This record gives sequence, structure tokens and C-alpha cells, in this order.
Amino acid sequence: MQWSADVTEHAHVEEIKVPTRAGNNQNYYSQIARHLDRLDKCFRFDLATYIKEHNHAGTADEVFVEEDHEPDTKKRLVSEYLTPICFITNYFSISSTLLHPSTPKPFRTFVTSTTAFHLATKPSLRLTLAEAAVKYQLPKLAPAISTFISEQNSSTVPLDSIKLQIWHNVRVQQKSYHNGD
Amino acid sequence: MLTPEYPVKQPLHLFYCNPINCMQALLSHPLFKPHISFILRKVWTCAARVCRVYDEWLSGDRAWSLQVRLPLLSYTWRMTPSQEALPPGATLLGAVLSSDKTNISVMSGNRVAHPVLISLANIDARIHSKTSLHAYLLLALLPIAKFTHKSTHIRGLLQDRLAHQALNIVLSTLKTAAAVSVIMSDPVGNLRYCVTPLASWIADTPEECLLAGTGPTASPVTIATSKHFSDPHRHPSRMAEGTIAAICTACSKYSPNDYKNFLKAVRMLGLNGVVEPVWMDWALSSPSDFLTIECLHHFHRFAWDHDVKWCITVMGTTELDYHFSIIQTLVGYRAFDEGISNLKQVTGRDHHSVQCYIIGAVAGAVPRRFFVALRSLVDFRYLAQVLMFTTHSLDWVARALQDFHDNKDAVIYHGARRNWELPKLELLQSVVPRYLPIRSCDAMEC
Repeated sequence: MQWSADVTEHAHVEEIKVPTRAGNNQNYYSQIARHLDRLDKCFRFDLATYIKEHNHAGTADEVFVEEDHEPDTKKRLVSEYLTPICFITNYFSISSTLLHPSTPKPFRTFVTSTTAFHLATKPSLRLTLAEAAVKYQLPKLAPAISTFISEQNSSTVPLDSIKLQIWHNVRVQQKSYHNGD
Repeated sequence: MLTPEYPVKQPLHLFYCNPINCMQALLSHPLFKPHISFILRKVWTCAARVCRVYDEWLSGDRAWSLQVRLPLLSYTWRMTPSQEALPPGATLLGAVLSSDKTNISVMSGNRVAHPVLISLANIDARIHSKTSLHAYLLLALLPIAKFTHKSTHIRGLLQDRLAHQALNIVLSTLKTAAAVSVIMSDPVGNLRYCVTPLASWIADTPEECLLAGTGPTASPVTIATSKHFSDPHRHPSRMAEGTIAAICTACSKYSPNDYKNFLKAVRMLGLNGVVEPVWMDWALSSPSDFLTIECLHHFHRFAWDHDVKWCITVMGTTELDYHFSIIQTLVGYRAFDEGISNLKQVTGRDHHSVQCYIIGAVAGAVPRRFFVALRSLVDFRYLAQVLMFTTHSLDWVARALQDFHDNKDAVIYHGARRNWELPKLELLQSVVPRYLPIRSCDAMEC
């Protein structure tokens, strides 16, 4: 087994430095001790209530919390304290909630059959079609887009008035087929 | 409240928890439940039992030998009458302690805290080494005293003794548990007889010296002194009995309260003047075993403090900085556009990245044997950092270190260093023997 001081040096931050900053710079040791005691009590209380709730929900009538893309706050509190879970946002479920006709368009999250795409709120660039063609050295960009538009809604739009929003990064998500969920 | 042996400016308070309670808290923690194991094991890569795998503390030889010794212990260590009742099926619970001084407030008072953290070696290594999992609990806050004595050296001596005095109080229950075992409940809810030897004490080099009771000129884990730090072999381990005998010698010469003369006597013996070291009556624990090498200080700090200085001396500042500035860096890697010689507030992350580049940066610009020495030292560090050792990889580690020792005279020859009085260099010798002690004994018996 490999021992490293990385972990313990990091533990200093949580066990010493954070409680110190919470105090008033007097009697460091007693304040640290009291702070940690109270933190521990709070954590135990959270944990106990969480376990209780969890058991209750599981045994009563198998009612599960509704699928929601915001994780349960209480659940997150407990798990954030102890587990380094990186919460994975499910873009597929977000996209399916967007199917309601009243949602504003265009969507920033959209799916194909296998892949979900998610765009940031702000695009990297906003350019006109001509500028984009120059910047990315794509002389055939304008004809390609006009063909695309005419295919989509069979009405021609003047090419000068087209403004493009360009994202350099997108988030792509695919379903994992080898995992249980 | 703690009474020191010499007047201090302010009254001292010692804050601590019962270490048994801390270990029980870790043990019964619902979230660690799937990651705690109690069974000792020997793992091989294949059924032919050629290549041994060492990953967890429980798969190591030391834990194994401790468990084998347990029934014997009940016979030899007659400390209390209940000793005979120690069941053969006692469970090993390795305590991991860590202590280091840390600054609380900079600029306003420069206050320092000296925390001792506790953890459990039975928790899986990959869970244990996660920083955000709270696997370390604060065990005690050691008092830092301001003694009224005039001499700085004697104040240091008193502070060292005070640390051991405080640790003796804090860890007394753990020592009792190591000797007579204690009943604790495991994650499933069963009661177990637990014996608590000290698995590891994670500390930096000065702290290790303080704990082992050695002076700055002696190694904390072996009997080597500063003259022998560069020897290409490992010196015999510093056994607890040897250190205690040396302390007794010093005590017989002068009274421990005659600070000035006592300090002279212990300096001759390579001690730091602690009279009652904390491991003195701790069964199954000896400083040479529990003081383990750790990556952050012994590898990365060593590389930064020494390797880089050697390169700067041999190559010159401007040349090295220029080499570093023209390295093509990939996305996600640290770039040193300004060179490295005048970096300030260097963190561990930078130590890592400098180690990645240093070989590439000095190649061709330094003499060949110097380069070989440096390269083998870097090889050694990378090989010794792995989380899982096998018998083969330990051979590579040993060979890399041997290569360094074969070529290290080039470092002195080119004027990068005057001598080899580096305690950390000596500690590197302990990496391989930590895992292969039994094998060497077998070879001797055959």
C-alpha cells in the first residue's frame, strides 16, 4: 500500500483551516474542537434522517421519486459530504421533457436516436453568413445552407439576412449499453 | 490540561478524542461499509505463485507476520492477567496516524497548529486515498508551548518531549488495545476482538525524526548516520530496543533534567532527547516499521529541492530556463514559459510537472553520467509511486535505485553537490525492503 501525504495535507484544510476561518481568531484549539463536534453531530443527524427516509420510501409501497433532472437536494447533501459522485446530467431525459409543444424554440438540447447534444447558452461566435464563410474558409457554405433551408421549409430566405450562431464546443452524450441503466 | 516539565508562558490545553472511538466511528460508518476488509491475504499473479502482488496493507507481509505473531504475543507479553484470554482469531485493525504542523494564520500572529489525524488501514486503498471522503479524522491538537528557557536548542528539546508526552496521553487507549485487544463492532454488526497495531505514521522528514526520537544526523528508520546516507545498500533497521537502550545510556550519564549536558550526550548518540518516546510500550509497533515512505515529501519535494538544483548548477540558469521555455506543451499540461529557476510559491502540482519535463529539458546539455544518474532517479520515483507492486516491479525499482548509486559520483564530480548528507536519499532505500522482508530471510535460511 502506498502512503502519501497528499490526502493528509488535504485533510488539514477540512479539519483545521476551515474551522479556523469560521472562528474569531481567538483560542484556536477550543474553537476548532467545538466546530468539528457540531459538524459531526449535524452530519450524523443528516445521515440518520436520510437512512430513515430511504428505508421508509423503500418499504412502504415502492414509490420512487419522480424522474427529475435536478437531483434531490437532501440526497445530494448527504452524498456530497462523503462521496465524490460526479452527477451526470441526463440530456436524453431533458430532451424528452422538452417535447411539450409550448416550450420555446430552438432547443439547446436535442437528440438523435443514439446521441444527445447540448449547447451552451452563449454561442462562441455570432457572424453573418458571408463572414463565417471567410473565417472558416468554406466558400461553399452559403449554397449549402440555402439548399438546406429550401429543403426544410420550401421557401427561400435572402442569404444576406442569415445570421449564424456558432458553437465551438458541444456536449455530446451517448447511452451506455453495457451498464444496467 | 497538561503540565509541562518547564515553565511556559501560557497554560497548555490538550484537545483530543479517544482513538478507539474514532476508529469505531470509521469502522461503523455506513458509507465505508463495502470497502472495509479484515482478511489477510497473499495474492499472486498466477497459480504458480511466482509473482506476488502487493496492493493493500492487508496483502503485505508485515500485516501477515503480525497476525501470525498474535497467538504468541498473548504468551510472551504478559502485561495483564486478561492477556491469556486473547483469542487466536483476533482481528487486525491497522491504525494510520498522521501529524504535521500547519499554519493557521499567516501575517497575523503566525499561529501554528499541530494536528494528529487518525484513519484505518483496513479501508481499501482507493477509497482511502480519496481526499474528499473524510477517511481521516482529527484525533488531537498537540499543544505548542512557548517555553521560558533562554536557549533555543533546549526549547526545541522541551517541545519534542512535550509532543511525546501529549501523544502518550492521547494514544494510551490505543496502546492498551494493541496489547490486550478490544471488542469493537464491525460494519455488519458483529463483534470482533480487535488488536490495533500502528500500520503507518504519515509524516514529513523532520516529523519522522521527532517521532523516532532521532537527531537530525541520524536516519529515523535505519541505524545509518549522516556519513552513511549515500551508501548503496540499506543499513539494518533501527529497532525500538536499540533506541531505548541508547536513551538509557544517555540518562545514566546525565539526569534528563540537566538539559544542557543531557543535550550534549544525546547529540553524541544521534538522539533528540526524548526520554519516553510514544512507541515505547506499544506492542507490535516499532518506528522502523510504521514510519513509511510517502510520495509527496520524499519523492516530489526531493526532486524539486535537489534534482532541479543540480541541473541548475550544472547547466546554468539561463540555459535551463530557455530549454523549459521552448518545450512544446500539450493541452492540459503545465507550460513553463518563463523557465523554472525563479518560480515562487511552488506547489506540489508544479513539482509533478517539472519532474515530467526535466529529463527532456536537460538531455544533451549535461554530461552523460550525470544524466544517467538523474534519469534513474526519476525512473525510480515513477516506479515506486505505483499503487500496486508486484515482485517484478519491485525488482525494477531496486535496479533503478542501484543505477543511481552507480552513477551518483558524477553529480559530485560536476560540482552540483558537495556531499551526500541527505536523509531522504537514505529513506529511498526503504521502499523495496518494506515489501520484501520475508523473501530475504528465506534466502538466508536456504
